Amino acid sequence: MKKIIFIIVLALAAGPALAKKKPVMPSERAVYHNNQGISYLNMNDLDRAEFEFKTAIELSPDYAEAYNNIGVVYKTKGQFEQAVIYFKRVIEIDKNYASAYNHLGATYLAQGKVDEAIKKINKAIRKQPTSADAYYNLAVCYLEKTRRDPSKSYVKFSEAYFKKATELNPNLKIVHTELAQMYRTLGDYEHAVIRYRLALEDDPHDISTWLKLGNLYLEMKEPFKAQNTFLKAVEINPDSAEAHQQLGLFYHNEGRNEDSLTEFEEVIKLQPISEAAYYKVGTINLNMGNYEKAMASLKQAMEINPNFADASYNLGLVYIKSGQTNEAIRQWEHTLIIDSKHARTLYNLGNTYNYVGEKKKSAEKLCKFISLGVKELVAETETAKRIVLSGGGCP
Amino acid sequence: MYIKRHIMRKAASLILISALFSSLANAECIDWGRLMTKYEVDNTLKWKKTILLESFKDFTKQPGDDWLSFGIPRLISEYLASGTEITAIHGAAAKYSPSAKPDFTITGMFQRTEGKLRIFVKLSEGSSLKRQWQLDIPYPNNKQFFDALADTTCSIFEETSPPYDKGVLKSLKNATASVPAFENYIRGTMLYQSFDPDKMDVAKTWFEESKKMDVHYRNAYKGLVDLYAFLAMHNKQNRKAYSGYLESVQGQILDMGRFSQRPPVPERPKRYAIKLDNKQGELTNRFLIANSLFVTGLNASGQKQWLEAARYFEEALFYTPEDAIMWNHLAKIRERTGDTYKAREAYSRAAELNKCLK
Repeated sequence: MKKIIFIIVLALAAGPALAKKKPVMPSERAVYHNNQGISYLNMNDLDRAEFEFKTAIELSPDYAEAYNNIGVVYKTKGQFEQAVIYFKRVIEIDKNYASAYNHLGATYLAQGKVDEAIKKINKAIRKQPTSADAYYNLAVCYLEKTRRDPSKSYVKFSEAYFKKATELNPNLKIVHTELAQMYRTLGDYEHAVIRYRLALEDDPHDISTWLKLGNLYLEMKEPFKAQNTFLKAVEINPDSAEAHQQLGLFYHNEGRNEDSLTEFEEVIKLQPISEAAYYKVGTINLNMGNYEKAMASLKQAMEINPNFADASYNLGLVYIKSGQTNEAIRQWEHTLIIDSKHARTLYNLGNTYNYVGEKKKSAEKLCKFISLGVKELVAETETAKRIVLSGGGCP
Repeated sequence: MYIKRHIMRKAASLILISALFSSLANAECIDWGRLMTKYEVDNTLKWKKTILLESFKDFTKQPGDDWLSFGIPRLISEYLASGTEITAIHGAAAKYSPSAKPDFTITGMFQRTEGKLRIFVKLSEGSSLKRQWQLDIPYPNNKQFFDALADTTCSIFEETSPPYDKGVLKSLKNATASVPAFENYIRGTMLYQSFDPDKMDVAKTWFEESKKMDVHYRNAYKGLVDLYAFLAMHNKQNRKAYSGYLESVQGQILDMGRFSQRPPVPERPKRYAIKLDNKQGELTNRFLIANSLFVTGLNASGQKQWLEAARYFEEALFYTPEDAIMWNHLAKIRERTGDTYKAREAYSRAAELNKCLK
């Protein structure tokens, strides 16, 4: 949604030029208040912006652009029903106001009404065939349709509309990254790299694009390129917690525990509420046999995010490995309150209950684990089945 | 009906009549928090299941976020009011509720990072965690704040006591779409619940600010109604002029009707049900009704119509059972009618509320 909002703000500034026809000219004073509203909107002061736009409408009751801008304010505030009312009002005043159709479509998309969104955005394109924003939104709509029903792939449409958007506005960096993401999903890594590189040509200091590219290289099994990309991100902004985190993950995957710990400790310094960093520090220490350190970090991760099931699970592992079986059982029972389908917890807890002779509880957990049918845990599933069978089957 | 005719009097016609008793009620005599929450607490007791909502922990301690500790559980408790078999206790009402253990407890924590608010809501039954929810909300000014907490409330109902009125919940959810309006209302409520007259000026400003942010937000008006009713009660118990505050109560109610375009939230039946049509000029607020009856009772006693006066006071106490002065008046009248048993009972009720009336 962030991307759509980005587009909308661009369209907002361009609003007056986009309107083909203005049935009634607004008064000079109304235009002044509308412009004031745009200034506030750019400062993200939504309430003042709304007040200014409404003042503009009070002065010129048929001022389409002011209605359009109020619609944008409501959409940004998450008040979609109100936004729809205002965009429709714009269309009533000026049926050729392309931007309103585009915004209306984007609002329908935010409400989950994809087909209605496509209709409205297509109308925006008919009214103004050079609208890069509209093509971008249309591409996002087709991506959403694919996400909802992967069997009917609309990716080709999406690709075509993203391309059209970049043709119309080559500086639309966000389109390059969207396209790159789409190519990546399709496994077309070469084009994905090209699009990320194009985005970086437009903005070489965009850390998030560097990190996405690094992750793509990891997926392509090119660790050296990935490492260089992550290091580049850290070089651009040494205070970026995200960059250090990606580098830490990279070192972790490479088995370089000490380097990884250094990076995650840097993340914690930069971003003290990063549950992910504490989790990783805890997990690495767990793997290295530093149980006290692991326990402290994992507890901190859970303090920050009490819903962090993986951290809770690993904390259970720390207890088991340090011989505190009862504590491990208590911790894993807690994990299952957070996430009743946490497969690894069900499996380990079932085994632990079996180990301490609580056969009934063991069968209950293992049977639930088996019923999940986790593909990545085939060997564990087989073990669970054997244990359950030896105890007389599932209850 | 004579009584009803008087109840129907317009608020503008309320007149101040000096209290006739000799005992003085000062701040040390009355536990104001207990007194002002008595009505709500008494109503709470009849519900089968109770949920206690505690303050939420502020994890990130960003400047200006203090109100969320009170505001998030307050909003959930308001939404829980749509439940038909459960009641939520929060804030001052929780502090002054009897010590009986609630069936469920809600605790939580929030974290704010740039443009985002993350809330964790924990539901416990006894001492064991029953379920936990994580909410990620765009912040500060986004309607999802209300939508997400309303959705969580639905999940809380599923875990505790499923029946709830969907229409009521929808109305509560749509009471305002403005987070700043809600924030100002909460800041006003936090000060109001100190029940310290010196803090009421600032509380009033917050409620007025809430109205500015959303003129249709009924809670902002309700906050002011409660605040003026408290000031009226405070002055009355201290033998000071109070009718001006009751006029302000009426003024806020009229403003609420005038500016509120959204459908009002249907109210749950209460123990002290006031079955009056909300037509213009008629009283619906229990403090205003009670005062109208009180004034009529004083008039009757002035004319030595003791039985009539007692009837008015009893009727008034049905609406404001927390009014020690009224109990005291009733006791004196009962003495005059020779009903010593009822007089003693009324004196005792007065003394329970105001220690200095012993």
